[in-house]
Amino acid sequence: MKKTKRLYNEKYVKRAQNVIGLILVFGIWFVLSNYTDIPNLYLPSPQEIAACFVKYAEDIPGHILSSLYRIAIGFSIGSLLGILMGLMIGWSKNIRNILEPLVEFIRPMPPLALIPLFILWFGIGNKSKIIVIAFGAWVVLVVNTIEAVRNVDPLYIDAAKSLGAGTGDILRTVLIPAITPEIIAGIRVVAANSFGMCVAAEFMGTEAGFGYMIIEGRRFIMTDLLLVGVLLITISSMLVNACIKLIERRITRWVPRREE
Amino acid sequence: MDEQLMLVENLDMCFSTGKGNITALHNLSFDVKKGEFLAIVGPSGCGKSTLINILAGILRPTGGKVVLDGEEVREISPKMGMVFQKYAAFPWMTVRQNISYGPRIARKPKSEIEKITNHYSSMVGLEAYEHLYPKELSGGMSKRVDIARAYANQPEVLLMDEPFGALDDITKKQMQTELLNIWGQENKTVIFITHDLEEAIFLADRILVLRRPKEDQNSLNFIQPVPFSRPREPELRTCGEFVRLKAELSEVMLK
Repeated sequence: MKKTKRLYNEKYVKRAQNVIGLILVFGIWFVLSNYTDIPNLYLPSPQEIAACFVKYAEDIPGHILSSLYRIAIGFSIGSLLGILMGLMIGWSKNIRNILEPLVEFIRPMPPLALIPLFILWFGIGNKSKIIVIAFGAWVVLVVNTIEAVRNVDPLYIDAAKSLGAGTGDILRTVLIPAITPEIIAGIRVVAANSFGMCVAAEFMGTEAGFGYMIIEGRRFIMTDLLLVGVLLITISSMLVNACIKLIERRITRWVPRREE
Repeated sequence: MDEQLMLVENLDMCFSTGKGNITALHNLSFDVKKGEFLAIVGPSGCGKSTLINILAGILRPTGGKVVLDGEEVREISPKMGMVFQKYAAFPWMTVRQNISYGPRIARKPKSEIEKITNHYSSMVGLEAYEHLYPKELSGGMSKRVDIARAYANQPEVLLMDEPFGALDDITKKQMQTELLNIWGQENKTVIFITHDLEEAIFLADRILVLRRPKEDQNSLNFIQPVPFSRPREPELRTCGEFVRLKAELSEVMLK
């Protein structure tokens, strides 16, 4: 009983401490932007940013949707291809011998450096943006999946075989469940990266999206609009991350964890 | 009881390393009778682990063969159930899903899967824990899952590779008694590898004593029949004859 109570208190102390940091930074920002001579051009105040949100309230959903559409498609295609290819490379020695050097060569290529090439190939529209995002997701997940497959304890595969499992059964009942936690961790990284890649691709030219808001903010020296764009990306990315975390907790209940 | 189930003939196993060949097993022959409890012991370096891997079909021998039920063992097969040294329950499956794995993979009818799973789950006393994941189990309980899962697949032989090596002494003794009960009920042949002589004597009908192979001597030292009647009680471990046999074997192994 006593212990439960202590844990309960600890939780609130932790929450309070978490909030302190945020309040501190927010307070410094508030003071600096309102009570010093730093021009608003460099540091708009929180109120201005809120006003800017309201001013563009009508356009904001459209920008969010444009970007999320690119991210959702690019991320899904890239992740799926990455996981499938990683499974094949991890599973089959022959495929590994053929494809692994290629993957090792492509792996260090920064996706952002390829944006101009993709624009050249696929035009300035959605296609090239989606492909950059897909490429970034693919690279991370291929490597991640190969590693995850390599980490599967052969003990489980031997055990499954000794219980009568064939190749398909092993894939379905051992390999895929065993690598799921690592794959989901990879997906979380990839999801966060996707936002960055989407914005970078949008900087190269677009009529809508987070990147558009930021570029417009810079072009018209509207720092508040620029920051609204940044905030929107941050919030969207956080929400996506929270969703994936929720799913993760549901399907990896079996993973041994240290208490947080 | 005397019907032969498994035959190991002239087994040789050499590993080539940078420094030349290492002989792990040399001209090892023995048979396993249907329904018996056979323990295999030997000093470290005698090729126990190699032998297990060959019997299980994980390794192919460089000479000789293992015949199970008239068929040569060439790869891992469901005829040979395995209980490993490490905890091998699939961490992503509940206790019940683990135990029912073999019948599910064999695509048996649902009612039969239920029946088999219930039987073996209660046999090892895990009915109340069926919904738990392995991470929530103690060492002894995890081992029970491994044993129930192997039995539920109804293999011809159960190969147990130092299954209780990682357990504390008390749990280990409990598990030994439980294993004997299960073995008595199920009438399945068990090959039990251990480095613990007391364990071997307490459990087995016969003990295969291995030695380090050399040019002129094969891997099999001798086969020691265990004279104690069954059912065996834990007190057996302290009776004079038991202690004497243990001391004798221990002396041989030290040589």
